[in-house]
Amino acid sequence: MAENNCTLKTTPGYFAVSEHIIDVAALRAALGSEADGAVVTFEGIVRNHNEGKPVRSLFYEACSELAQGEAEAIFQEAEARFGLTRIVCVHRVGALNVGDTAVFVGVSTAHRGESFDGCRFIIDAIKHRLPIWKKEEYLDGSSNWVNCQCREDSP
Amino acid sequence: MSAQTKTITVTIRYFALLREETGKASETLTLEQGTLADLYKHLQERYKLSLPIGAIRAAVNNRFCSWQTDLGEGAEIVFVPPVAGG
Repeated sequence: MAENNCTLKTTPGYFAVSEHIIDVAALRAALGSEADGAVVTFEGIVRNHNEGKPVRSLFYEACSELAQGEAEAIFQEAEARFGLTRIVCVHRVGALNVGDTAVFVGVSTAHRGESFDGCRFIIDAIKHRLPIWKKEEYLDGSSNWVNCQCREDSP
Repeated sequence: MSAQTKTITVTIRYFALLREETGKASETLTLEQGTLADLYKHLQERYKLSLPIGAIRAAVNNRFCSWQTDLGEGAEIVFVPPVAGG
């Protein structure tokens, strides 16, 4: 009867910005239904290097209200293009360490092709459109807001 | 500002590099009525902001808007530096 125990609102999609560790299992549980034959999930993980520089940690900042509206617009586009049944996305903010999950995207559809394509579309759109910013802190003590062409080298 | 000039009060929220360069997360300003572009140019001068207007997007009352948008009394403005989610 009940398709799952998750109470997340997943139509057209669930989006949240969170200061807490992303509970991947709980988000996965909100995906899929008896009519869905495919679930695709993606996790963006903090890695220890970028553009040749060793990264120690990341700091993410978001404008939650604007991000919510833009995420809903992305979900509506994705739903129309790929027929996604469910969409779940959570983006972390605050200080993250190497290995932490920075973003989770999960979708479900009747068939796998639409799930793969829809998930890819959503993560790409999120990276380019959501008002979320990333500051990289490097092993040498310097830091940089990514894409802002402004490097603040430590003295 | 001349005595005839209409003034408005707006609230601006700063994020990421703009928050660091202005040294504040938000502020309320009373200024001459004008466009979003006028306001950003004013702030650029005031805080020596490093990002050119072409690198920024702007939102008023939680909607992305063009730089020619006229600001109204009580507008809540967010300037959006180049994003880097994911």
